[in-house]
Amino acid sequence: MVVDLIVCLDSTTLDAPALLAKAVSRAAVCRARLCVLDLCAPDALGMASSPTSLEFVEDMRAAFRLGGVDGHHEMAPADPAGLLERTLSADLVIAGRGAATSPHRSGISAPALGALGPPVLIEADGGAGPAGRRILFPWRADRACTRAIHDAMPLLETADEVVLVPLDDGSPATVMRRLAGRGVRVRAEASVDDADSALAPLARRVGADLIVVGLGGPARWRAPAVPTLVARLIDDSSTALLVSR
Amino acid sequence: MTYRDIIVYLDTGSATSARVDAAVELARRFEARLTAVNLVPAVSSDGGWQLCRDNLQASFEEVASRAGVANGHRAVSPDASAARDFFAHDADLLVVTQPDRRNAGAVPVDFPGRLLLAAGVPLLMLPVGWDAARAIGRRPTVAWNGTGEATRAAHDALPFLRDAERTALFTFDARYGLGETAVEGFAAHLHRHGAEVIVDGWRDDGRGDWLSALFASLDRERSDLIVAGAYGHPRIAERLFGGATQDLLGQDLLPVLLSH
Repeated sequence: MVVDLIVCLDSTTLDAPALLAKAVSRAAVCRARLCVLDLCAPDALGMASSPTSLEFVEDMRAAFRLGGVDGHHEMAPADPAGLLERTLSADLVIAGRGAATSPHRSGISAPALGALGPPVLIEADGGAGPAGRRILFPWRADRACTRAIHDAMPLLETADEVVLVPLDDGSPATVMRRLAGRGVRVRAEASVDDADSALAPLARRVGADLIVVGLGGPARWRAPAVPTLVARLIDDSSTALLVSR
Repeated sequence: MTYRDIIVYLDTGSATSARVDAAVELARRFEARLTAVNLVPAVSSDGGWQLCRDNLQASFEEVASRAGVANGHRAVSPDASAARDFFAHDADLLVVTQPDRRNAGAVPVDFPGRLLLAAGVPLLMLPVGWDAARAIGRRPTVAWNGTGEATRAAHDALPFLRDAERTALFTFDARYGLGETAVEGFAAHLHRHGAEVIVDGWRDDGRGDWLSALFASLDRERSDLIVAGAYGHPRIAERLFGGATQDLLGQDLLPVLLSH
């Protein structure tokens, strides 16, 4: 169940309106509260550095009204620790790839993913609506994938199809039975050997608009060690990514 | 989110009966399917393990069926070692008992800790000597320290929190009471999830320790369950220097729900 969403964006960037629209759409579907955490850098007077952000706030309020969403806008804490702390009161954090490489702030950067509590949904560039119609789920029986299933369940339950991709020789039968028992429309693909390079092309081949991946390890001491797979998928902007820790 | 699949581990130790009774009650409360995972083949060194396994299975099935709980049974292989060998990934909640070194026939003392690290599923650990007639989770306390692990533990415990009379959100923080802190925002978030939450904050002024404060809070709130994140620091550091997780695993007063 999703009751609190946070979208991290830089209101001065060109992709902010599209990311906001996706977040509002998702909040409307979930009937969740939406907090827009603005990463834009204030100028010396404490105001936004560009008038664009003021126009953005007005457009944002209109989007809330149109979508029937209980939403509000906040300036994100300036320090990374404060930003991470602010995201703890959310069931899902939404970010765009722009936030991951924002020249102003680190935002939800790849290293920060390992420190978060809630899962992070990195939306794809472009696309009409929020991702999650067809979901690709790389699976092996380990802690990271087990957590990822739990975190992704609100999205899995509403997807048109979930494509499970075994990452090892283990049978996915048990996990498929569990998912099917919760009403998830799931099928299995053939296993892949080299997930790092095979998943993004596979996602495009099956028409997936979202890939779910799990990170391993506790937050503090392994936060910078984001696996190659996740870093590579973040760079591939064509498919959204749900990262669970 | 709710618990749809619960696993309870069976062994020949004296705590198994109470653990099964508690797990059956939880499965009944959450309308979950309860699976007993029989550890006997993996821990028994004598040739009579088949009879032990069968007796444990029969006893479990009788108790679960009498309570009207959907149930199943699985046995681990003698060479089981990884979490998947113990079917830990196939559930929403695992139920174990605190290791008791005096209890012959029970599992290795590090079994719950290893499971907790590798399963990716919250683990409910009952203290040694737990009376299954006692309630679990009617007045839980969530020990929250603003970390990802603690946040995850609270989310994993939501089925308990939503069902509880009242939940205490405990925090031990040097900044508490000096202005708005993250704990109030987190309490409001849990409230939006349907939990009745009060913040029980303690300021860390350097004169006390968090564990003493937590137990004072548990006593004041008449709590019946501790919810906490586990192993936010490397496990080897906890072994060498002690840590919150080791403290919680070692206490024998209340059940504790741990997430990692």
